[in-house]
Amino acid sequence: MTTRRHFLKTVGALSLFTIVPRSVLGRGFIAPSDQLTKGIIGVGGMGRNHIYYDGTRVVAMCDVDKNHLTQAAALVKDKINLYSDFRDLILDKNVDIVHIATPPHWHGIMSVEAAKAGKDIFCEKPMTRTIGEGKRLMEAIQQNGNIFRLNTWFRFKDPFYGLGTPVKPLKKLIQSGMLGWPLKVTISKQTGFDWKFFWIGKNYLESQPVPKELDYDMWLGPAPYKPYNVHRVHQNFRGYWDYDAGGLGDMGQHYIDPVQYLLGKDDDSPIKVEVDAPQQHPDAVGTWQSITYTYKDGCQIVLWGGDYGKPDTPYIAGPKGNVYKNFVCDIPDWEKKLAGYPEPAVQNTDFIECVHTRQKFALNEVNGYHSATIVNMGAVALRLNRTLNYDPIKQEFINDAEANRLLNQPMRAPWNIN
Amino acid sequence: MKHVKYCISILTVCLFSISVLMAQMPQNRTVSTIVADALAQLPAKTEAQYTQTMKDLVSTGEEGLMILIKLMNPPGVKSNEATEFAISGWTNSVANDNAKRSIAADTYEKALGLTLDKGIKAFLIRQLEVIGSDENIDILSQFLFDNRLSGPSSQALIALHSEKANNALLAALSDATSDDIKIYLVNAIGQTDYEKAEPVLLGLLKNNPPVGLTNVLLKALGNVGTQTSLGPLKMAAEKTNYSYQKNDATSAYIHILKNVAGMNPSYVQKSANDLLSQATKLNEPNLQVAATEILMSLPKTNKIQLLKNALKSGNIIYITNTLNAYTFQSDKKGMKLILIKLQEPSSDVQTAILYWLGNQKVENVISEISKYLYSTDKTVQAAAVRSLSKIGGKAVLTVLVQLLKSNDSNIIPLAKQALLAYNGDISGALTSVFNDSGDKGKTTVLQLIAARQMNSQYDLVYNQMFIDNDSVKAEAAQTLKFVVTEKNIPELFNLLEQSDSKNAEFVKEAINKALSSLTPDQQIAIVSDRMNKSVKSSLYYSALANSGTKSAMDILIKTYNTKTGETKQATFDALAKWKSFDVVYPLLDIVRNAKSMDEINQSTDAIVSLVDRSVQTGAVKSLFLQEVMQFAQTDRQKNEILRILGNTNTYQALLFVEPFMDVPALRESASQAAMNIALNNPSFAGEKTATILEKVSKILSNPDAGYQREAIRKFLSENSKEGGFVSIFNGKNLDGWKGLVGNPITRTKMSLKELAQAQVKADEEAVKSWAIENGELIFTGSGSNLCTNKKYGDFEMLIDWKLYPGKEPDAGIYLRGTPQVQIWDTARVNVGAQVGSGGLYNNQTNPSKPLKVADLKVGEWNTFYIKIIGDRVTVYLNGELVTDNVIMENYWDINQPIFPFEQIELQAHGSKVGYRNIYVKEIIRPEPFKLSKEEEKEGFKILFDGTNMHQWTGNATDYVTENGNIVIYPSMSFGGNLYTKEEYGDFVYRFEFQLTPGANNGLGIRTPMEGDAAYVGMELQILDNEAPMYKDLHEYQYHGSVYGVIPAKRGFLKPIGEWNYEEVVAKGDTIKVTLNGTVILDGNIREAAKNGTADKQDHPGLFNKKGHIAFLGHGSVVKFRNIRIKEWKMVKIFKRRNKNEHI
Repeated sequence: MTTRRHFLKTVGALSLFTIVPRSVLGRGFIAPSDQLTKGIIGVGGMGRNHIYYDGTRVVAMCDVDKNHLTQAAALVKDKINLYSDFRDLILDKNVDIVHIATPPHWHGIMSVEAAKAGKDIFCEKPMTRTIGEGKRLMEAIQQNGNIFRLNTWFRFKDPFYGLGTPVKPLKKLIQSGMLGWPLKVTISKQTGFDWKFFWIGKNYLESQPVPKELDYDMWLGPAPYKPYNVHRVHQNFRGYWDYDAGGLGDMGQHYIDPVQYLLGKDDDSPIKVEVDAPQQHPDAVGTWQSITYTYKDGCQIVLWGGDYGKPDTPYIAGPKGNVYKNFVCDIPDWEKKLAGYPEPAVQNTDFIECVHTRQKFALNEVNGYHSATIVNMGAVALRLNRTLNYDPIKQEFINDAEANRLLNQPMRAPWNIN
Repeated sequence: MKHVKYCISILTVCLFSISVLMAQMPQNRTVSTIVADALAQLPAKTEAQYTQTMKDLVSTGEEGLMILIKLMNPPGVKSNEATEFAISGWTNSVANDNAKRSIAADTYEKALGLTLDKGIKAFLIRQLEVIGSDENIDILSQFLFDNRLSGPSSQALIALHSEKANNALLAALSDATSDDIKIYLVNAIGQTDYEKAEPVLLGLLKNNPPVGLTNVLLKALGNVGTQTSLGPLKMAAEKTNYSYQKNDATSAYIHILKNVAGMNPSYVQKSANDLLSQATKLNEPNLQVAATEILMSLPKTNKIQLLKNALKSGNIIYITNTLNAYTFQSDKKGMKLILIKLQEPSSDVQTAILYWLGNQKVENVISEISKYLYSTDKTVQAAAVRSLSKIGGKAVLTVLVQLLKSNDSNIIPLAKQALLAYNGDISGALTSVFNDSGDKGKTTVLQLIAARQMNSQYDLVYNQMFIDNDSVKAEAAQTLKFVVTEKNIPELFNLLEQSDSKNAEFVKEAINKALSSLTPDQQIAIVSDRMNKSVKSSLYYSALANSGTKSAMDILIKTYNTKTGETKQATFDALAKWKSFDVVYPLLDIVRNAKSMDEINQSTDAIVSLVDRSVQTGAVKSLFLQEVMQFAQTDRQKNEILRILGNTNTYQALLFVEPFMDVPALRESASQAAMNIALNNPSFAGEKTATILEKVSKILSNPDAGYQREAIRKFLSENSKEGGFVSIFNGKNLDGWKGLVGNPITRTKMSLKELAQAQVKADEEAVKSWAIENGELIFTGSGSNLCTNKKYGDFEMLIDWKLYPGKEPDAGIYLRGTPQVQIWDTARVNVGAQVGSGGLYNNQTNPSKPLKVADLKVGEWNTFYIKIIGDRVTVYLNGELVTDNVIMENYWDINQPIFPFEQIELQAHGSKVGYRNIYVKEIIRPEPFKLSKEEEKEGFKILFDGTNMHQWTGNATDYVTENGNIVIYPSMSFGGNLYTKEEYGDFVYRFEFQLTPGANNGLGIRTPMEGDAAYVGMELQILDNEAPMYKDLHEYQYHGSVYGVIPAKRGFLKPIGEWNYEEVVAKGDTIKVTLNGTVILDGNIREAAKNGTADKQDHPGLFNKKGHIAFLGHGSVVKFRNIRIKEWKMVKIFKRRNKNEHI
């Protein structure tokens, strides 16, 4: 078997012009990097960006909206396989990596199904829309030995949005201990983060006829049946709790995940979440002023919505020093002092390499589960308008039966995540 | 509207309470009032409001909840907004209170028994999904056979997580006949852990069910099944040949194997082993992983054998996951096997093992791993380095630095990464390999020395400056600044003079770094001393600039102006790197007097970069960027200026960038800038901003444009597209402006003719003294003030101004014809100008000096933001607050307040001044209400004219004046009261009011300020009694009724949103209410109460002779205006007068 791969490696000239999916070689036998293939589920908005992600070639697409599918297919020169049922795409032998760019209420089920089919997975944020689905996804990856990547990247590259610094030097500073412990990180518009508060729902949607290009039943999938309205689907889904959690759901993991990395909480969860927000509608997501998470060791993550909060609040506040936007630090001579410390450990940031080496990607199902849990804890607290205590070991809320019913939300037939 | 339907217990409490305590408390209201008040409050804005509103609502118990449920419309047909907030809030707020929770759940249960739309029922079932208990199982079960409600009710049942609920699902499944219903039920059972369902599920599976049902059955059995299901599930999996299928029998089988592993490990072991061999036969590594994972969890499994299997396969997925599933490092036999296997010539096997060794931090394997550092396979090589890096420790350090001696271009970057992350001192190790390393290795060592800023390695770095190797030398030059200290300064000076021009720049940086630990004076001393001794003094300009002192700047400017060539350039370079913002003035001088394009370009770049990195206010940045734009030559420069302007948050910048949106090469950055400014500053919203944003929306073209357009749409929908700042100077002529005649007081004393004649003369003069140059309004230095034709009341104003150098620069802005917001040259210490501009110069009692000096240099543009509301003025100068809400005194007559409306004037004070960008945003205030002639004659008095609440007292937090109205914005569902300060007995009271849907308020008359006016005085109901929620009112609760005593006629309110006009006549025992011209009540209170009041309540204050008039708040927003009253005190007055006459 190894010889086959060796053979393919040596006849590089041939392989340059042929897409050989990994499945043809036998799963686990790796073709040269330019030969990995992908299939994209959900090609309405975000999914179209996935066509252009480097290192893989798109060979299949799936969407429940025929118009989306036709429009997206037209963006690719090659002939590709088009599907309306994601399971057919997962079954497609030509697909090595399944990209999931649907609304979040599908992320859990689709990832688990792809994992069971032995595919590697490239999934949009937020990882899942409930804590329970995240847990199940993590188990499925573990059980089937897949490589999973979540599509947010600020924990390893780019100065994330308006903060004016990438995460690495911040991590180095925190790791050095110069700021002291515990730390409080404040994520807000003041430091450049935009929660995209226009992803809010409407408190009333009149019933409209379902357009004929859309399979609405499949679009809803595991979510409760509610009458169709154009504002419920496509880009606007973010404003409804059944599918997402507004700006918190859509953008939250982008901002929170790097902070979880900074605080070294990749396998931990907060023990408390407090919200300051107007009452939330049971269907439509609204805005909020602040959400505060506290970890067992006293570290805090504070999310400030909209224009809430003061501009002079540090991004990271520690007992021995503070860090502001654009990496302004108030420790005297901090640059010189910091230079003596080691850089943060190298992260696996090349997804294709991870698929080849079977090493976990920098943002994978485990740390992704934990940062998605932060988002989802916030969503539950918002929906219930109250402070919640959480047990990170049992992964459930403490003394709050109602909150715990939101850990795993029952799914509409025939969908189930297992 | 109040009271009426007490429940017994509350009534009992009330009987023992004194009336004062009863007033306005929720329990004192009827259920429908509490519900209506709560609905008006929802959605709650704050937690306190939420808690209070929910407490109120929940206090109404079943009756209130049922009212809410009955108010619901079928979803998708008509809005349920308020009721959905109320019901879901109710559910959430009682979830953790057992008693209240079961009241709510019982009510939902009762409501589900009524004839209601199925969409409403689905909503109610979802409430039970949240707070239901075993007690609700029966009602939920009733819907399990309903196609529309089977889904919701089965989901609600599984949320209960109880044996009984699961049993109900199972019972229904046994009774179900339709496949669709079976699918709902099986799918629900599949989400539980209800083993007892197994026989039924297996029974269904046996009967060859259709595909849809088979799928959910397999999944469900995988979840709830026991050993009994192993066989059938295995068969199903075999049927698919263990491949992934839509029904996914294989994963159901794996699931059940895992589930029963604890109960019957030997059986599962056998089955999992079979599965593993099947997977191996089929060459399905992921299936091998799944089988291996199960086997690893079993106590009797031969784990070494599993490991052998995996390693033998050579498949990286299988090997990696098998290794990860068990920590073989504590198992000597396993470790041995792994290390032997590592030597096999398979890069997949090697990669898997190398990573695992590192991830597990296996000890004593450094030499084994090191063998692969020079593998020809790059993946293997990387695995070896990363593995070592993870293991860490001194032994690893030794190995890692050896890599730097290599000439392998792949390995050195890997080694560098590992060394950067190495936790410990690496300096000794680096120096030990330095001399034996090649160029790449040496360069890397220098980079590592720089990264850790090793002062200890200064000599090593310095010495490289004298070797015959350009690449290493160049790297050393760049490293110097990271390792120098003040001790090295003399040596660095020497080095500087010997370095070639490229390296010299790095040496200069090193010198500056070394100087930075000294004081500015020490720096100047050392540097000038050296300059004096040197023939190449221009080499030291950057060191001179590093001191940041005035003397250094003077030397540099002088040199720039007198020298040429390299020396001149060196001074420029030094100025360009100057740290403080004051260098902007010499740089502007340079660009303004530039002789060559190069000079213009480099000084423009320097100013832009200075502004960008400075911490000046947005206003200051905006001014200098507008200035420098005229010198920008390239698109790069212009785009950069536009980008920075986008962060200045000034209205002027918004307008400034607009024309650049038409230039193809600049349109994207101009649009981004305009968008950023507009969206970040809702106070700039208005007609102009809306036009710009709509244009931006069309232009934007970048990866985030979709998001951005969405944000613009949101902004435009939430902010006004009309009004906003309006330009009052067109840049071309004096349209809209006139000359000054007298002052506001003298003008009123002039006849129209005199005024007109004087105006003609003043206008003629104005044209002479005020000129327009380059779109700027210039006062030439002699003449009089320039005034707006228009008179302004409350407004915000933006204006840029510039004092020209000359004799006594001075100017000012008159607000409402009154001097002035001061502008002067801060150098004029003799007149006290050092306090800065922006103060209210003529104030005598109130502050006249600005809070701080925020002026820019004379000759440069400055900018004011001025706000005047009433008599209060706020001024920002160049983005700094200098006058903070200060009363502006009337200069022309100190005893008068400032005029309510007057012209804006630009002061003429004998020196040349420029103005531009003059914008005004008027803040409209309605004309105060005035009595009609008839009312005046009759003796009416105004109680509220739209401008102040001086006649009123009480809750001034919830009742506010707004646009000429009194508006109540209740902070609590039972609102608050607003009372007249005076007391009234017999009177005619006229007012207008506007209701919101379901709104509730009341007009208290003859009431004391304490207690519930409906009882301690009288309450005339103010209520939207047409709202659906009030259809079952008692007559005496209708709008206009004397509450609980005399009913009014219903049906004469204007539609919601229109103003109603009401007159109340109270004369002795007769009360008459006229609404919109119709008499809706005309009765005698004594007669009405003769046989007890209609509401059977005690009204102790019914016959009060006099009292306050009050607005009695509830949860809803109501507006009032034009309030006036006529009292009948005639009789008393006459008596008194008669008496007096007799005396």
